[in-house]
Amino acid sequence: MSIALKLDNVSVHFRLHYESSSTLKEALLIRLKNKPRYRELWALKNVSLDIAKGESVGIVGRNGSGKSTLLKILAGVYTPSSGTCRVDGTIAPLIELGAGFNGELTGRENVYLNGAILGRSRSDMDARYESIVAFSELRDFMDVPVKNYSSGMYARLGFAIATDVEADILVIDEILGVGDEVFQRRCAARIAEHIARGGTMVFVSHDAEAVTKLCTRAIVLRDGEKVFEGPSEAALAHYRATYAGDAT
Amino acid sequence: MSRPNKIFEIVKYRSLLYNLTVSELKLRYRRSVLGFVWTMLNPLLMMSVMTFVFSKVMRFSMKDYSVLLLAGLLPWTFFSQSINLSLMSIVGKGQLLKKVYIPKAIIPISAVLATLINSSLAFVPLLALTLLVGHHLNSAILFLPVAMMILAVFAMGWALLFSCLYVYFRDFGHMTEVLLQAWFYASPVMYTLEMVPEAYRSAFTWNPVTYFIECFRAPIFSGQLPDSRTIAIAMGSAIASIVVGLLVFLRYENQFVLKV
Ligand SMILES: Nc1ncnc2c1ncn2[C@@H]1O[C@H](COP(=O)(O)OP(=O)(O)O)[C@@H](O)[C@H]1O
Ligand SMILES: [Mg+2]
Repeated sequence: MSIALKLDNVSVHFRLHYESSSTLKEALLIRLKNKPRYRELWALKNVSLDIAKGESVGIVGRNGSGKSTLLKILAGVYTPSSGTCRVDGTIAPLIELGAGFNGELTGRENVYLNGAILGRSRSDMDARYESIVAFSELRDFMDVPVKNYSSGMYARLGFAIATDVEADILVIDEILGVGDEVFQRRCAARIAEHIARGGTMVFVSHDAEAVTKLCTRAIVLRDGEKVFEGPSEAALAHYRATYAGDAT
Repeated sequence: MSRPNKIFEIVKYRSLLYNLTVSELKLRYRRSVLGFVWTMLNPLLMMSVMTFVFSKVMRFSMKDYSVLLLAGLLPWTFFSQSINLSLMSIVGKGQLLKKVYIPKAIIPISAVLATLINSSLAFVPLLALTLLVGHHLNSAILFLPVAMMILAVFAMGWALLFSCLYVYFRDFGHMTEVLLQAWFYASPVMYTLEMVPEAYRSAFTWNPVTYFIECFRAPIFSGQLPDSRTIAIAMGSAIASIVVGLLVFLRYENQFVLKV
């Protein structure tokens, strides 16, 4: 079985600065006062994960447990502070839908802008424009600046652009809650299509039902550490148990 | 990712390069009635003032000094504006960098391209005015597009370097202002090398901008191609600048997202 994604002992380290010390004077002053200048935060700690081609893996964990950070490592937004991340195949990032949309520009212009941000050529987007508009069901709004879109419309357009190209790997972060019910169903259908086609998926959701339905396997993250890995039913049970523990 | 791959990726993302360049230009001219006309009007006003000041007020005797000045000012303005615009470009795109992966070198490079288009437009009034003051132009001006290209590569190298440094040291913004100011006076923009006392002249030969200015001044002012040594040094400086700029930039770009 060939590997689509391989995380090997990945850690991600952030510095949360108390005071911004980006000018020389501030930096000197703070150093003179000998105050702690930042808090160290490990958003991920030694996480290893192998995902085979065609597999769908869920990631569950509480807010701030590092789920989004893990997806951003896969998408190349962050580079691991230590450890390695290997990706074999193209990725459709559904992490921040419509990232880079410019509110002043029309829907149509933003389709091209977002396509460019995803590394697609203009002619590529010309060819896909029709099907993107059709899927988003926003045909009447393509000449309207997206600042006038509702957040659901915004996400619909973002989803339509990101998934129109058949990527090998879908990376999805808690985005299915947006849009109305009809659109959610259409998104779910598109994801199911991707899986049926033999595509790989990494899926973050608070919807336990969706995780068990779509993913065969899941991991549980807690404070940046992988505390469980196994069948999604078992992972959710583990997550609920820890969560109950946290509540007491 | 290896370095050749990263450079190949910049090519793959060329539609983003195009997009950022166009939106930069649109942004600059948004809500200004005259839009691109300002680009043309600027040198025109500049030249009128300079001609007046230097020929009537200071009684500068040099013939067509204003042509000489403008021919030097255009490349310098292109270079300094490229750096000014790209300096904060990475930090300015911080929110985008935190959301999606893009090859980051595209950002300062698009700033230089936007400035290149802008500055190229300024040639129209410059050449028109040159003829208007009775200065003759010949086919040597066909070299100007080549000179612009070499200068653009030179500017890109510095833009990559400066935008990268600014991510780490915000003080660098103020330093750049001072540096560019000093560099302007140290470059033969308002004067020529011949006006510099012999004793100091050799110092100017270490300033690469000297050669770029000559690449513009020779065709416009003297009506001849720059000599091959000047062209060679300009090209060499451009290559050195882009290589160093890319090496430094690609070495640190992965950390940008943590600093913006
Ligand atoms: N760019 C960043 N800079 C500093 N801290 C960050 C950054 N991104 C995430 N974090 C921190 O990393 C931790 C994990 O965040 P995240 O991966 O978004 O969690 P989740 O998606 O599971 O809710 C949080 O404590 C968050 O504050
Ligand atoms: Mg998250």
